[in-house]
Amino acid sequence: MEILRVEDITFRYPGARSDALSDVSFSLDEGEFAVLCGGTGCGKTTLLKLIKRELSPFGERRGEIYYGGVPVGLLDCRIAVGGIGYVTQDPDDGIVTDRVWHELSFGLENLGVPSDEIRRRVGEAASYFGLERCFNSRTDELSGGLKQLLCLASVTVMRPRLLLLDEPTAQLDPIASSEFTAFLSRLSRELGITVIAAEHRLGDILPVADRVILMGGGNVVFNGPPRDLGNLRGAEDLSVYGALPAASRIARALGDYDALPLTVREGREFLESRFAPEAAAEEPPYVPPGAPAVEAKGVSFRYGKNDPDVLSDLSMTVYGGEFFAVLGGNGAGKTTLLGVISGLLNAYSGKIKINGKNIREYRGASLNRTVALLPQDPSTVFVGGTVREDLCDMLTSRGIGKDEALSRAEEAARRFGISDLLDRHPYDTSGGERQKCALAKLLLGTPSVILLDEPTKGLDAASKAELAKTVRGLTAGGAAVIAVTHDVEFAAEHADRCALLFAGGIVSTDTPRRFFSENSFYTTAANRIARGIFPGEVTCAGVIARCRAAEAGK
Amino acid sequence: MGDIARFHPFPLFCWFAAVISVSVFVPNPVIGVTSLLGGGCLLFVCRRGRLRARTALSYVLLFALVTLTNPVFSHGGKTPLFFVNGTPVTLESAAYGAGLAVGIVSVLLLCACWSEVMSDEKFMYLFGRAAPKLSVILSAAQRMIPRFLRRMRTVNGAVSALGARTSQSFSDRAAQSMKVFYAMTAWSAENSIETASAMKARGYGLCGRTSFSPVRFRAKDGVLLALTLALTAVTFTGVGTGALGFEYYPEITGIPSSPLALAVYVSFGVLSFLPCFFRVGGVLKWKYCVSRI
Amino acid sequence: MKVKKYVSFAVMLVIIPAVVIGGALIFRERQSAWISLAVAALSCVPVVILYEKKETDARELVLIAAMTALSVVGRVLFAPLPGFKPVTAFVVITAMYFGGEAGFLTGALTALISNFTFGQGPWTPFQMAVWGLTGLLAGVLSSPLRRSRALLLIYGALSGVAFSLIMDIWTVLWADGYLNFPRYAAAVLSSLPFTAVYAVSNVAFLLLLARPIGKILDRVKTKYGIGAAGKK
Repeated sequence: MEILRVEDITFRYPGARSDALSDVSFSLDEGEFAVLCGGTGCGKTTLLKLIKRELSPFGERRGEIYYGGVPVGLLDCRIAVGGIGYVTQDPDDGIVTDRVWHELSFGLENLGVPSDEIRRRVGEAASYFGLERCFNSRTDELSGGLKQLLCLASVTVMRPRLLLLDEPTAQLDPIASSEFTAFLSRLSRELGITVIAAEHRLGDILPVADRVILMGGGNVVFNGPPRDLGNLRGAEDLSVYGALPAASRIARALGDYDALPLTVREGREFLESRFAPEAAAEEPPYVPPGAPAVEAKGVSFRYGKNDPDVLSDLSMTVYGGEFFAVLGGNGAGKTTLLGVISGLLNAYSGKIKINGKNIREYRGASLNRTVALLPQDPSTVFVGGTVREDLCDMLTSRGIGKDEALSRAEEAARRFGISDLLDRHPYDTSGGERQKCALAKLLLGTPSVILLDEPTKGLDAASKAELAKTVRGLTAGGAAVIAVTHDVEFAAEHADRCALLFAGGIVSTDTPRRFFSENSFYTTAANRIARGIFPGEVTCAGVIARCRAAEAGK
Repeated sequence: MGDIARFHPFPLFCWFAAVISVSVFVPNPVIGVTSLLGGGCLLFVCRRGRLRARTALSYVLLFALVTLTNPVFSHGGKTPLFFVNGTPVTLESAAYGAGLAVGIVSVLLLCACWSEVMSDEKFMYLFGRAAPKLSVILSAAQRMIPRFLRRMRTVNGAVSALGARTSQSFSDRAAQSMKVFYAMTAWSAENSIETASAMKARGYGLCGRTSFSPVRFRAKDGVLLALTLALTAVTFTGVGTGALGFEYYPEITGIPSSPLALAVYVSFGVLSFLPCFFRVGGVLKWKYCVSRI
Repeated sequence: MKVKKYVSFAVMLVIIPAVVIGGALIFRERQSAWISLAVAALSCVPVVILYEKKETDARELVLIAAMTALSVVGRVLFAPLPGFKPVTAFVVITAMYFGGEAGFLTGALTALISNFTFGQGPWTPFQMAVWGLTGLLAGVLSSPLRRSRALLLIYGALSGVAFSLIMDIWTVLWADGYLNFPRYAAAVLSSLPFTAVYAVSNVAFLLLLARPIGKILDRVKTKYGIGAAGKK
């Protein structure tokens, strides 16, 4: 049975020059699991918000959306609220109340459900979602993954028939993100709830989805089962292509267009059926591109006297002109490591040298003029009312005159392609734009060591590529860039060296090819697919190149 | 906390309201001492025997301060102890000071117990139904506070790591803190809008809102409530008929000992120790059960 | 719905006076202290009822919660400096932008929530009432306060002084059962440094916060089209 029909929806924000959505039409049957994808600004969020009546943005709108055969605008308000559930990107924004039980019951209270029935439904939901243990906890004490699960649970408890999710895993680490996706597919399978999830990263979600709706420039470009994506031509633009699972990317690049492989297993079968195993290519030994920029020796750190060590006896060397990626699980101490290098946290033993000088010898702010840190949430670096104000603030705090600061800020904005954002409030920008603004601000201080905390979090493929370009530019200028990240694909593609942080210390450091091909769990999907066939290949591009070479050799 | 905090908020609230109002508003020495002992005992039970020496010392100091300074403010009373600069320091005013000090310390003790037992959650339960909007604001504010504190630390770290500060001087640090605070305010205003749309998306503002709480009223709560109400009624009757009247000025009167007064002492005594009795009873029952297993 | 209405009327007209008079009859020896406490606690009731009845947008509600949270955070952060707290500034700013009732709620709830940390006591209702009334009055005066910065600062200073004076009245009523003037004078004198710091901090925080926070609230109000509650 059809539950949702979107008919020729065209939408334009007030004052905008072009339509955010133009003639979007599709329909979904009850119980379907659909993935909505496309680059930033393709209208995904606008579409989802138009379906959820309470969140509909103001603007010019044509066309109609039907929920269960009734136009959304004419729905009874209780059906509109309870029947269509909405989960936002940042779980922190979605949580309203201070206790888990209250968060779960909040929607039911609003609907006027009697107290006894709320008790039963909340209890049921808490045990289904595994939230019993934290039922009486404060919402603020939960981990990010649990918070998002709570958001999902507190919407599901209202018994929706249609769930809308706007990039629900963008703020989660890979493990929490795949758990969340698994939960979502369980909801659709076991409860028959129809799901539309907007996503950037398709690796986890595509194999469980029934349908992919691909948007580009406000239109639906593709609408069909995931495996049919192979038939889609002319969509080699990065926003979609870069988001596909590794198996699909490899298969597509080789021109195989029917029954696209989606999982690692399918990818392996695909390669095995076509190519014979080869020997690993020789890789020259690594030559550091510059002098040591960051040297840490025996560094140990803990937050309190009686707390366990977060970093213990950590040693590493990062060279100028190098992009160094530190990988590690949740709570491995990645952010702490950056805090210690940037001097925000003080190690209780060990020595850290920046450009050959011990960080204890840097006086005042001089250390942070050399080492700059981009935090996980780039919006934390903004303190001004507009981007321009923020960029100027960075320069004037260094004693540069107002006029010069203004011209230098504008010049930097041109370089980063954010000139048209200068007069906006930093919070009125998208995730990718915000990061660019933050980086622009950071780099106005001309640091020689740049620390990035989870720089790819929440970014789409195109923004990731731009970030990589910026980083390349920095290392070419001789700066050392250290990124701590969960994103193994990004590290494999772009880093000069990768390191694994485990139990407070660096346990292995090597070039991405050697680093990942020796790991079996902590490695890229491309490497898992190509293992034993093209050993040593860790990126999709690498695997594709070997495939092409093998084909040419035949 | 243990068992006492697990009572239903309503009987607990009634108990605190009765005991605190009697100790605040009835200046009778027997009542004062009873509630002092009851409050101290309850705090001891609530904190499971962990009463810090510093806290205890501060109560003693407060006691001494109030007792000793009272003669400075009031010179009434018939029995001068000695004269300072020609003004008499009387026995009555010293006694009044001691009585006042007993009252103040016992109220402080009871309030400390209140803080241990009546969590914000219980408070919400009591007043949330009557004022749904207020309780939403209260709950949302409680949710935001730890989030804001964390955000403030993060922003401060981020700004410091940019080398925004020119020196470690106080004025520079204050200027940075101010900047951070503005940034956090802007961020929180922005996030409020997001939270509000999350509320609307989940139907906030529909008419006929109900109110849910996981708290349940058990038989034990009924017993506490009934006992509290009965004992309070006896106490209030005694207080209201003036059976507990006690005067310091101009001369200390005898402690009232009419039958009604004695009945009030007993019932207020039981009332003051009521939660402690429940706690002790619970412990004994547990021990008895365990020994039988 | 009708039943609810009658209940709230009953609360207003019957229960409140009954509690005040009944208490005054029972606690004869501390009548004035009882009445002052009851009045302080119950002064919150009509404002709350009025606000509950008013049509309010969810966004305004959450913004009030945010202002309350900010002022609690401010009080917690400045706790090491006695008397130095930004509460009044936040209360007055909220009242100026969202109306008197909103200011009242911010003030009263700040007292209530922060005392979960600092310790509840008989002083809580007084703090709630005084900070609440500071906000209510600021809401009434919102247009002159928004126009004149000097007036705003004077208002801040005066409300700081009033806060101390009223708290001292309660102390004396409790201790003596009547307004014992020497004790009141002593209480006012001994809390003079506190009062001075508090008044100065009110002025300082209003000076520092009023404009930037006003700008932020204006921005949010225009960006999301929240009703011009400040006019009321």
